[in-house]
Amino acid sequence: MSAEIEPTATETPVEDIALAGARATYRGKKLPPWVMPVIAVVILGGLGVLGLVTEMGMLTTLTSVLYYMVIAQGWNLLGGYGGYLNFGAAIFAGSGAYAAAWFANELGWTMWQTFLPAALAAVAVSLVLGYATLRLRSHYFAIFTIVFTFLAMVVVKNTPALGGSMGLYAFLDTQLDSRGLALLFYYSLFGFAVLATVIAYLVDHSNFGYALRAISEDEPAAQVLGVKTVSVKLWALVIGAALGGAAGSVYAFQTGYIEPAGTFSLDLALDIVLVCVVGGLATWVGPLIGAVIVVVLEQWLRVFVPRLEFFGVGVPAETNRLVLGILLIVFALFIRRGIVGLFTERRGRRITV
Amino acid sequence: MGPVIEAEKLVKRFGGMTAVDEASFSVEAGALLGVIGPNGSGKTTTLNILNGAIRPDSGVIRVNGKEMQGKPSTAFVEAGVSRTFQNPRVFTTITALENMLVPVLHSKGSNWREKALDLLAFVGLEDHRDTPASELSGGQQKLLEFVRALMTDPSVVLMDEPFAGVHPSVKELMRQRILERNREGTAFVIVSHEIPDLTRLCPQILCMSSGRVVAYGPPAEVTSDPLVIEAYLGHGPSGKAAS
Ligand SMILES: Nc1ncnc2c1ncn2[C@@H]1O[C@H](COP(=O)(O)OP(=O)(O)OP(=O)(O)O)[C@@H](O)[C@H]1O
Ligand SMILES: [Mg+2]
Repeated sequence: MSAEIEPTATETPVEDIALAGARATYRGKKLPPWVMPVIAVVILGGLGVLGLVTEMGMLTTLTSVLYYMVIAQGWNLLGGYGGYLNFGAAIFAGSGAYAAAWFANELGWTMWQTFLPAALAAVAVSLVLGYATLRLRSHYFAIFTIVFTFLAMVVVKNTPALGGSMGLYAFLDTQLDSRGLALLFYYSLFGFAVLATVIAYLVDHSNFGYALRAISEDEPAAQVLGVKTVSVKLWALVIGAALGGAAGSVYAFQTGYIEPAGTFSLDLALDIVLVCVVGGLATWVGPLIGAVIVVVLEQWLRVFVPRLEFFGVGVPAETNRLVLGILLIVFALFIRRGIVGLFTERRGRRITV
Repeated sequence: MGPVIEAEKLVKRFGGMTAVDEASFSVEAGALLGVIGPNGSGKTTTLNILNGAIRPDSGVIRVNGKEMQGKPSTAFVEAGVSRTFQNPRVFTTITALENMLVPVLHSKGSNWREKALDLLAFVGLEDHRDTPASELSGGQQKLLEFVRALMTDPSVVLMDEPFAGVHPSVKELMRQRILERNREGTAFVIVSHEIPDLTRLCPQILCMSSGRVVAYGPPAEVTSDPLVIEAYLGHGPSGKAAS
């Protein structure tokens, strides 16, 4: 088919045609660039105001929303942008919680003083995990994070300095009444959620973020083009871990008592994956939307399910997790780009025949 | 100036089969070298070795005088090698402009965006800066890959089948842009089955057959070489004994 072209006779016209072909314009479903930032500001702004006006029960729910937001934004860097879907979120939140409790007990530090050590502890753990496993491809990494979560739990359980299986208390020496205390936790997490969202936004719009997406899609190609893929993945893991660790320190003081099994729990890890999948993997607004939906749904199920009766028989409380599992499958199969994806242009490989 | 790439006795085996068999050649600075050879003759594997994507079982690779075998592909990029792929491997979840910025992640400097836009305009893709690469046509993806490979100011670009499956006019555009960059001193190694296109573009042609370099020289010489003719027509193993 390819007719030979004489190079000398047609140089300029041919180039014009080719350039015109290359330029053929693209009409995609494009959202104005301000939509996502507005959604983020509305969600975070709303949470910022709600904390002051809402009653205690709701405040507890919203505290969980913020806690999930921080961890999910962090997890999304490697898990979403980098395509290394994993179940390791509890490792970092747990490390942070334990570091905070330990510094509170041993050195008498107050909550805000433990933020940095909590983040650093999570970073240290993430470096160990990352160096050991980030040379692996994503599905092996995913499995290893489950093993590592369990390993962390076992190690803590057998470390007397960390309370062993008895756990640790994390007291806050303060004059605040219970509402004041709740607000302290709430706004600490709110601050971290804002910080995490700013970080996610910056990553999303940086060469680092593009490289993460490139790794997610075709890691060997990214490497051949000059991307130091292991170090990029490690950075994504470390930044995410620092955020998770900081959130974990608030968690430790909020619950006042932490123990290994509840702290290094795969339930949390699964919830975080669900938050990002529902909101939209590899989007900076997705975790905000996802955290609101997942936590509110979870709380509602927790209240609603025990009241259910099925032909006179009570429905087990675990149904709650079953529903969330089904939700994960529905999104994974049918709404793969999450809620954010419903409103933005489709990208990525097409199945071409 | 010396050669940008020197390859000495490169060998690569996959299981029992030898994909590259003691291939030796060099690419002079600013050269325009065409590589031909039948399907499966080891051309892509050779390119993969030359940019560190796979490690040779034995042999020596020097890039701008530096020994490179065993180093990761990122070191090859730093040493001045970049490449395109036989099947376009643009990243489809990011835009054309974002694709351009992937290779310079670790590079110092700040004007990458401007440079990327200039290069996109170089191949007529300036209006597609914000188009997700998944929405680009096959030809546009080839053009994008080409200019993406230029982001790091390589001293040599390895191109695997840049002319396959593109319209004659885009082919001509690609040809002119390659020539333009070559005049500014960038060397190219171009693998192609489109022999007329290649011989018109490249003053030097290298022919591979069964992993070996069977001919190297000016197009007229190579295409009339009995070993090359045999490689393409596929007559018996007598040629192998001769090489
Ligand atoms: N990763 C691999 N594993 C096993 N065998 C491989 C691999 N890559 C290449 N080969 C084999 O090595 C030989 C050379 O392949 P290569 O892709 O280099 O050929 P080529 O000259 O580029 O062919 P084509 O013109 O079809 O692109 C082929 O026989 C191929 O099957
Ligand atoms: Mg090939």
